[in-house]
Amino acid sequence: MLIQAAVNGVVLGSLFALLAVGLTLTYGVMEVPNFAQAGVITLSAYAMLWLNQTAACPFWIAALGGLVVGGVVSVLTERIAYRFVRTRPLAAPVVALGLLLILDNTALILFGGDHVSLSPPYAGDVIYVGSATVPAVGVALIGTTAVALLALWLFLQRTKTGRAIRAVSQNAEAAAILGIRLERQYIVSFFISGILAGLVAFAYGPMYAVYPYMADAILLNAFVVVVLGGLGNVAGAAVCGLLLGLLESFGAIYVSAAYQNLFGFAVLLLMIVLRPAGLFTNRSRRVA
Amino acid sequence: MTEIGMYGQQETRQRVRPRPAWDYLGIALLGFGLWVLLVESNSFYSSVLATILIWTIATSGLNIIAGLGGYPSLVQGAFYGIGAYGSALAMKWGQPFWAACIEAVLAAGILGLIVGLVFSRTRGQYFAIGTMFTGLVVSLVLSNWQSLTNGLLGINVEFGFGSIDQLNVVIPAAAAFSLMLVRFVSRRRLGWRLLTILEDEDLAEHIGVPTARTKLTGFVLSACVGAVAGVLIAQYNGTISPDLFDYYVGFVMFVALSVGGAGRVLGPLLGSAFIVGTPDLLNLSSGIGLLLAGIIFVVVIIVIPGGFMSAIDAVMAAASRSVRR
Amino acid sequence: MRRVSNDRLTILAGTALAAALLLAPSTPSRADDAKTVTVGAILPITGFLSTLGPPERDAMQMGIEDINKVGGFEVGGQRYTLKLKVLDDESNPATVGVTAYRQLVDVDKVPVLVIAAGTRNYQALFRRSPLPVLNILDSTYPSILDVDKHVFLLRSDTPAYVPGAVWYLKNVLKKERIAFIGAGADPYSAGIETWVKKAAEEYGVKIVSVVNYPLNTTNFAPFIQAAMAEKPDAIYLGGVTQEVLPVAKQLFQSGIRDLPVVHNSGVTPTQAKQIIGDPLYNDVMANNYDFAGTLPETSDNPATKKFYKDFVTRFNQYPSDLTMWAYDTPFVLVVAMQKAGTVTDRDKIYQAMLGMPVPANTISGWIPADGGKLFHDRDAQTMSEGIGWCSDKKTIAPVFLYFMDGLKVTREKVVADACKDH
Repeated sequence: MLIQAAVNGVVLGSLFALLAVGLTLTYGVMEVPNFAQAGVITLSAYAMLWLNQTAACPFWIAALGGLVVGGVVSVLTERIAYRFVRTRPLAAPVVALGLLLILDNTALILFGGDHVSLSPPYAGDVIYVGSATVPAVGVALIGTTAVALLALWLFLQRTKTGRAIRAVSQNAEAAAILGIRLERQYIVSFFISGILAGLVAFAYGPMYAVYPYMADAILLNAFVVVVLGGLGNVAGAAVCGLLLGLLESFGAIYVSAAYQNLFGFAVLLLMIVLRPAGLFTNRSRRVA
Repeated sequence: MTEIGMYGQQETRQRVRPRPAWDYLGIALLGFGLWVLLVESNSFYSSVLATILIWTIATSGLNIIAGLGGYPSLVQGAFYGIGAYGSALAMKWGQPFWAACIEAVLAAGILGLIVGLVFSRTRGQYFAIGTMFTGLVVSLVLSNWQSLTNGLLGINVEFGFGSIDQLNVVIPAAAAFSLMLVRFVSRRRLGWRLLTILEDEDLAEHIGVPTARTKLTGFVLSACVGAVAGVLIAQYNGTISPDLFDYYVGFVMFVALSVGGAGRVLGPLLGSAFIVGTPDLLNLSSGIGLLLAGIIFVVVIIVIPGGFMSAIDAVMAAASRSVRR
Repeated sequence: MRRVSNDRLTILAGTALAAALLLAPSTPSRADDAKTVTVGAILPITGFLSTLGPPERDAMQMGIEDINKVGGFEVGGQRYTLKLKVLDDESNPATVGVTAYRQLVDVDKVPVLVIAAGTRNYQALFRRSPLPVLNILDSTYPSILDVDKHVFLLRSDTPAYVPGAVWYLKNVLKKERIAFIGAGADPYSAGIETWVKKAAEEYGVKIVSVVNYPLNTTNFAPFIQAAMAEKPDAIYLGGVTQEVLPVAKQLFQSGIRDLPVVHNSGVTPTQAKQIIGDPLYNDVMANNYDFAGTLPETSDNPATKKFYKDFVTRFNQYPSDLTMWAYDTPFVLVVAMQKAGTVTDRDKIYQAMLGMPVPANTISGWIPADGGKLFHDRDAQTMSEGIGWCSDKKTIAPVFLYFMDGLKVTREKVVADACKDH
């Protein structure tokens, strides 16, 4: 039981971490609660589905195509909408919801509302860890997250653009004064965020099914993680994602599976009230 | 003279001549007109209008804390749901209609008090996220509490009025009253204080405004008005289901208010008319209707930050300028 | 300080509105064309019940075309044809459905309303504007017939097919420890759970575990693990197709391969392929058993077989039990209207429906009630059928036919080698 709960927790945690990292990246750069990320995931998943099934591409090519679509759509949301509300934090939720409606319903109109399965070649496999089982799609999720986090870390720490993004997220004004071109950083962060959304589509799509509202529910869990880890804190999001996944999984097995999500949400409420800046941040960002 | 409004937009301030009687008369006239429209239209259009008016009540309530006070509350949906389910359940347990209404509104008020206290020190985005998740938790608990709320099946609501005609009078009347309420509050001490909090909360506190108490009062008032709307939708449809509570509802109400014109008396009416009317009246398949709504949200909030009301202002100002010339 | 009202504006708005009212004509109600009768239907075209609405709409359309093809029908010396108007309730009867109800019943003034789900939600509306209501799908327990006396059900309900599944598990598959995994918030699943428990008690089968997952669950791992912890030898899933298939898929992905998985959702091979995915679905469905109404493909009636072929050709989809009841609906309407002698008087049509016979040309295979009537206490009944999967042909085949008399299985027929003759 313990091993199974731990294994479930790592799978769930990987999903949360992958999702949260994409959200927190854009949060750090322009303080936008990007609910539209769920829509980007949806369109990315449908792109993969279409390429794989209608256009008969091999699965891995379709996956790559989906990632690109994710990146592009995400950049579009920035260029068309978010760009105009950077200085108006209270308008951002309205824009975010509007974008989510646009993206989800575009998927609905183009592809219909039926639940359709995204099927990687390993969809039916199982891995055994001691007495516990993990579906291969779960392992794929863990792997994807690990690779993505590593790549992101390298990017943020080792590349010029990455360091520029970190600078902007810490203090946009100072970064501008130092000569960093803000517009470019915004576009790059949204693009990366979109690729991360595509990775979520790739890893999460096969677990349940693809349909227009597929990511709306898990996005809420991701928000919990983003707040826990500190808005804009990528490392915090990754760690808290894993923690939350473990917390919810242990709660599901040892307390009640039906209220699994409730644990996460309750933790969020606690955090917002007690320590809104998150568990890990020590930046003096104004939060209250 | 230019001011900075809630969304960073520049506003033209005119000399305000307080003429309260005209305002209330105008709203009353509006209410009467809406009643005529309600009873004269056929059942389908009538039901759309009734829903718009009920949403106007809920978003007017929201207007107090979010419009006047500037606090983006995304939890109004929960109070709406509590009004509906609270009154329906109270009647099921044998309470007379009027008592059931009072109890439902009271319950919403108490929850509003608790939520207001819990979030008394949170602001801006965090307040938005926190209230949204509160709504989410409330909706999760109640919709899974099968023995109480009957889950997805929903509950049928006992009709509490004497006749449908009575209900048809109460709905536009309540909508008009909710608009008058905002007008009334905005001119009273509560309203002034909320506006100072909107402008600069720290400064307000500094000069002695009891911000914590003001916010709490505003929040509880918003909650109670939201519950009244819930009671009416339960009566009108005769049936309620858990998606009344969905966190999504609170979010959409906030958007409706913003798009209509937050802080403006008629903002809730315009916003609700738009949000409820667009999918239903245009008779589009829900996908296209919602897509359109999403596009308009984005466009409106970017181009006309103050919502439809501020667009109307601009048009009226231009018209009066050209008249004066 | 912000302006918070505009007195001029309010008055302006008020007067403008009042003026508009005096000038606005009240919308005329649309009566039907003298020679066309509209069949009004509220169906779940989108939402979590979306596997059910579209095939019903398509089948009803076929039925209407077949009636119109031979010149329509005659009532009171006048010829009429039928027209279908379907509104989507988005699987959300309490909010979207009630608006659709008002449109069809009050504005379009349809003589009879066809619905699929949400009967309970329309209760207040039934009272305000009553008319005969034909429910072509909702077999949920407790019965929707109790909602209002104007409601008819064109199929057998939950107690008429669920116990047979448990009987089959015990007596044919020789299983005695069932784990039930249900979509607790869905009343259909809750009704199935009640009857699985009753049947288990009756036939001597143990229910070792009952878990229910909340709305919008996509990760069933904790529920599956809780169920398996009690070491069942069969799994029973509650809910409709879109709830059941993902659970079946995740069961398989967790390594559970050799337990029979039983449910009552009426899955078609097309849906299995779409929701579970190709090629996984063939392996996942191998242990599936589905107990519901009879399928058109397996009927002996040549008219039903023809319907099956036509449906597959035209819509490229496998028709399940509900398509037959939908196809027959217009025929039921026509006979009721002819018996009542009117196409507009709702009360007369209602009275006629109560005692009407089983119409000719129908394909559902209804078992007549006493005196050859279609409805037995407003319920039209058929045989029930259990279906298994044929892995070589990647399709379904009947394994068990039966008719429930209370908790007693009657007219039972176990089909051996179901896949061979298929």
